[in-house]
Amino acid sequence: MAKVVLLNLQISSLLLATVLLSGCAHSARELPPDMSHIQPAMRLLPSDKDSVEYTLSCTELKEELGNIKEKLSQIEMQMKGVQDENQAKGKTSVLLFSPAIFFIDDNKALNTVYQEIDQKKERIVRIAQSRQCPI
Amino acid sequence: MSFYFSRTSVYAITLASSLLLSGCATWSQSEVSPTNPAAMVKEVNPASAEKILLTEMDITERSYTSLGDISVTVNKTTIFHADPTKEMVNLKLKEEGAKLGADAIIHVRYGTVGISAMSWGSLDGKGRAVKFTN
Repeated sequence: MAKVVLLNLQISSLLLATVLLSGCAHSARELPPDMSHIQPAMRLLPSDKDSVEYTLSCTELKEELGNIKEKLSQIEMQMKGVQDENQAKGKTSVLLFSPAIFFIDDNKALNTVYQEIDQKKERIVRIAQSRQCPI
Repeated sequence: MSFYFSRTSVYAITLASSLLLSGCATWSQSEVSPTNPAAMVKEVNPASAEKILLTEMDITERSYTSLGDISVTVNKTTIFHADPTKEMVNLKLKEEGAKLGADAIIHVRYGTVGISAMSWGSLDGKGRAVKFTN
């Protein structure tokens, strides 16, 4: 029994190393350029002025921001679900059945969607702040 | 029925148990790119860290100068510990901000919790430490 546990631990370690090198955690996006020397009304990125959001009024920006926050919290809940499943698979692989580690989901597609929406949120906030819209 | 554990197994189990039972549920890494390294505070007063304002947006109602960009990662110690939270990242950002003598950390953003090369649960965050000029 102990030998089986030990063997399982060794196989887990090897598999773990492989899986962990790829990783499932996703990094925060890069920070925007430092615009502290620019007047608040001018703190926009060149791409902001070409965006659809730039054409929106203050009320529409506020409404859109609300929708985006809602979407983000829904995606966060989905991601939490995936992470919980991954943890369960990880625990199974460490304690009982090493190949369970192969079923860990890297959650890449969901994360890409999350980052895109989060970027949109940031653009809306930037545009709203530059116009002094209440958000 | 009897079990036999080798010395290595006993050490491994002891180490795992110690980590699991210890108060160190998380550990963290941080990277700071200060605009002026010489101005960094040597000893941080915890009270000053608490006072630091944290926002995901920019601050437009007050003028400020940028002190540097901060990047932190909070990792859980073992798979059996709870996943790191945004609050833990915020705390770490404030600590690093206090070392720079910041009044606020702006543009705060987070990654997503997941398995990383270093931990079964990692969450990173970034922000820009700023000092108000008026």
